Amino acid sequence: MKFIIKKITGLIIALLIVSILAFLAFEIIPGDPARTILGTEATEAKVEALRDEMGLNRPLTVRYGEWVKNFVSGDMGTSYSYQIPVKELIADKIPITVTMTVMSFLFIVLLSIPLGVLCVYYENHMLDRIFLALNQVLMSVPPFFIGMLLTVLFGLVFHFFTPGGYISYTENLAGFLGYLLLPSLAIALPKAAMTMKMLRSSMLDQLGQDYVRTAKSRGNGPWRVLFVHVFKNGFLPVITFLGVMIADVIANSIVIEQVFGIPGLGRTLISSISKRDYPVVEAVIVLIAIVILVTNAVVDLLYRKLDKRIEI
Amino acid sequence: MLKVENLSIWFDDRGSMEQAVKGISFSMEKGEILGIVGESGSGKTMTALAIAGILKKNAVLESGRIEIEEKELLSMTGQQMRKLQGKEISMIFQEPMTALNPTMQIGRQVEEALLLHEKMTRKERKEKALEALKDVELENVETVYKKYPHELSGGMRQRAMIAAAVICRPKLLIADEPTTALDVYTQEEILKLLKKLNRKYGMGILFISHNLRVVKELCSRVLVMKDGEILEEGTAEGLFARPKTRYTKELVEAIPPRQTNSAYYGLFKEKAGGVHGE
Repeated sequence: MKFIIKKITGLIIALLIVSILAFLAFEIIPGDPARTILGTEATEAKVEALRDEMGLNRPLTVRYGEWVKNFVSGDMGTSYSYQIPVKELIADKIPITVTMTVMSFLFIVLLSIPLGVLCVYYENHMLDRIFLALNQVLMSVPPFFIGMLLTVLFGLVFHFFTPGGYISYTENLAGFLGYLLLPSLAIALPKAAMTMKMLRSSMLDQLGQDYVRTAKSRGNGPWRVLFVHVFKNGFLPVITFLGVMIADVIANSIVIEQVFGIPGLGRTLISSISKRDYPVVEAVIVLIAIVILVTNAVVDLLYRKLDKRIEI
Repeated sequence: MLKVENLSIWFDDRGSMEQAVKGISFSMEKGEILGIVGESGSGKTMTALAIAGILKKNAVLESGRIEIEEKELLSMTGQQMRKLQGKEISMIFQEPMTALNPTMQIGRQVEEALLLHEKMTRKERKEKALEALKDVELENVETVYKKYPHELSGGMRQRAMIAAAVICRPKLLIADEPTTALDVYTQEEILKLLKKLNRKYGMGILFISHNLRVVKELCSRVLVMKDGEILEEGTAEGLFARPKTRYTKELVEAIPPRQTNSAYYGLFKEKAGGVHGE
């Protein structure tokens, strides 16, 4: 319980810091939302009048305080460029990005765990070597490039899907999931390679431990040794790694959305940054931070649950 | 019951092959406690691991036979060997902290041999495991069953190790320096326990140690090993009274006098017994 309270306090502090930094960032970088709305032709007086109207001339602390107050009560403000509430603007984008992140994560777990265990079983055999070499390649290629390769291969050569032909989840759920398959795979492949390599070396390390010898002396076969004894111990450090990776998966999804033309949060974020649409950017950044922080807290909890040596 | 003939083991030490065990032969009667003494690198642990069938991959069995109850172990397939491991041959190790799985409850580890070798329900296994924990003189066995290794003391861990090893009533228990990592008081307790189990179940014990005093206390017969060979073999009493080789004589002379030990033991007990006011 104490652990949970501590985690939540830390989470709130981290969110405050993230939101302050996001606010400050727009103070520092050049560009003015009022100017963006009115265009370069507008007179200085007109821009100034609009800035006043938008409340941009008030001190930063006042604006920040007001933003926090509204955000907590569920009001994320109104988008400058679309003139609709931010909530409405991002509400139908969230499921897209969340689905893609979850799918990527599933790919990472479903690819890395069985292959990692297989490589440990066949350590230094042909299979293990092939996967290690493949791993090396996958780890060094950035997701957007894998995304481009997949698009060319499955879109233009095999015609499995139409590049850029995004299907909305409101129209056709199966089509939507199908369209997200390749982008998710593009995000997942390098991460799965890393996770697998880590799991492999972590489990090999465990295989040299004394308790493995004890398990063998009891008549445990090689597979049982791996799954019942070594896996849990070897997987523990990987859990922390997976938690950290969530942030990376989300960051990569922003790029991948561009490559595959998916209208998710990432695309909204990038277009809002260039339009200096502060309320949208603030909201998206804080939402992403919430997701990352919460998943990391969950990972910590899970770790503690699995490894009893860590006191809660 | 156990017959080892002309056993030779080499091991690959980063490319160079070294002979760890040089064609040794010995045998053990049913229910006997046989000690093997020798310094590190004498080949005693290699011999034990070979009998238990858990030699590391870098060890190569060159020749020899190991028979247990007329069954030859070295020609067995892995699967045939696994049927004996934990059921007829068990092993306990020096460091009970690392020899137990850190993320598995004690009870699960104790009953694992039953899961592998006997057809039992989960409940039956648990009952047997609790019984086994009582058998090794642990208290509050229901609580211990649910504990993890790090939550127990060194002595309790070694007891749990023993419970796990003897739960299927093996004919042979190989004990590789099981008391070395423990304090003198706990050492005595574990030795007593091993003696009790030996008598109660007629279980043969192959006791490996570098500590002659401990071996003298527990074993009826002793082998002295050095550089992969058996130098001397005899009853514990005989060996200590009339060592035949110079090496054994040196070993015997190196034992601290009994008095010193009991004095230390007494002192320790007093402390452990609780000097209350500081």
